[in-house]
Amino acid sequence: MAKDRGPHFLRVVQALAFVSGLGPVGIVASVTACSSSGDLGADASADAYTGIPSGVAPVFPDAADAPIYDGQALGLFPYDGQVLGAQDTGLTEDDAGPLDANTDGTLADAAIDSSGPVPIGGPLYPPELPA
Amino acid sequence: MTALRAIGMPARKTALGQEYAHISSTMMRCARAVHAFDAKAYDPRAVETACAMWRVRMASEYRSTCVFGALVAQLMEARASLESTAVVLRMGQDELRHAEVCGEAIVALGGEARIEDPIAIRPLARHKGCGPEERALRNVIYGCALSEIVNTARFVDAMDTMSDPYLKDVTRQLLSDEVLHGQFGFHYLEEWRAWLEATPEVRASLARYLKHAFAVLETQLSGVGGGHKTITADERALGLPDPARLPETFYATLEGAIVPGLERFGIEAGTAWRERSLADVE
Repeated sequence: MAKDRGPHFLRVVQALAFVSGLGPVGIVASVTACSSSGDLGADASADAYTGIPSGVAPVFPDAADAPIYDGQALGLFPYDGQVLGAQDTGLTEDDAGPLDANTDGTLADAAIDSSGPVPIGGPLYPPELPA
Repeated sequence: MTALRAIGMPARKTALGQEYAHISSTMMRCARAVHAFDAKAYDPRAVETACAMWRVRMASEYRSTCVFGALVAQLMEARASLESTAVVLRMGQDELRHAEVCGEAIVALGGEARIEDPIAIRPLARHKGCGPEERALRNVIYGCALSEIVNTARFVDAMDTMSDPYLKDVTRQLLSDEVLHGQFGFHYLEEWRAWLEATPEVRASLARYLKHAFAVLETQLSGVGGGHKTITADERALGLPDPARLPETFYATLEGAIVPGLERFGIEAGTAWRERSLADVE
């Protein structure tokens, strides 16, 4: 299942894992997954990401085509001075799954509706526990 | 009855407009690089659908300022740090700026940037029986560490699939703030780590709350339970959400980022996630 989803979902989950403070293992795993799919082209090597500071400026010539790495520039991946080897992470695409059993249900409609299932920005009102 | 006053794009020439422009420019976390949208490159129906999405997004961003606004008062009740309260105020202002950014996208797509719907201000959950510290923690966790992290995942997902340079640039600007909004939940927990370690009963109470909160979040954001729709190549290029991806992004984010992120603070989020329920919680 995870392999079917491909490197994209690995990148998403690893990016968000980083946001939630889990650590830097996502960077190289993402680079590895991306490189294996070839969708970052010839520059898709871990070395290409050495020395990237966190900040706001795009650091890749074609950052628009590498959004997660553009996300790196946005501070998603605060570079800590160390690039781990893929062998150090122990992560593969399989680490992105498996999905919860609930995903077997019917998929959401893409209707754009502020009260519907499609998130459109901003925090949700927290619920109260049932009385 | 007097018609509701529409909320449109901010003025630029008034004193307030100039002050707002100054505030807005200093708070931007990334600069815009693409300033024109090429509608001729797409099916007009796809452009219209994208415009509708940005219109809803504009109103949503505007309304969500209220959540952060109310949260400020709860953080003050909890005697949270000055800096954390200030950052929540900043995030509330981010939402207003996002409404403007969305408005710019609407205009570029050929629409009119106006919010005409009534703005219903709901009170923020008080969590009867909770002290001020736990009340604020529950609302920060739900508003930031849960819903804003999922929102961030949605933006990352959109950035990974959309290709229109203008809309991608606009989305990137929103993403750069959403990252902070999601991270704030974990930064706030870090600020309260020592207090949480000294109050195991609160950690247990937060885990009980999460059993319900996760179930509500799943209802609101997972995208499970809707219908099917295959989006066109143009719709994908313009950043419209693919319904087939919504649940996958949601569950991957919950299980790969949010749950382990919360567990770092001794909150049994994994158990709460597995046992999530909309029914009464023990």
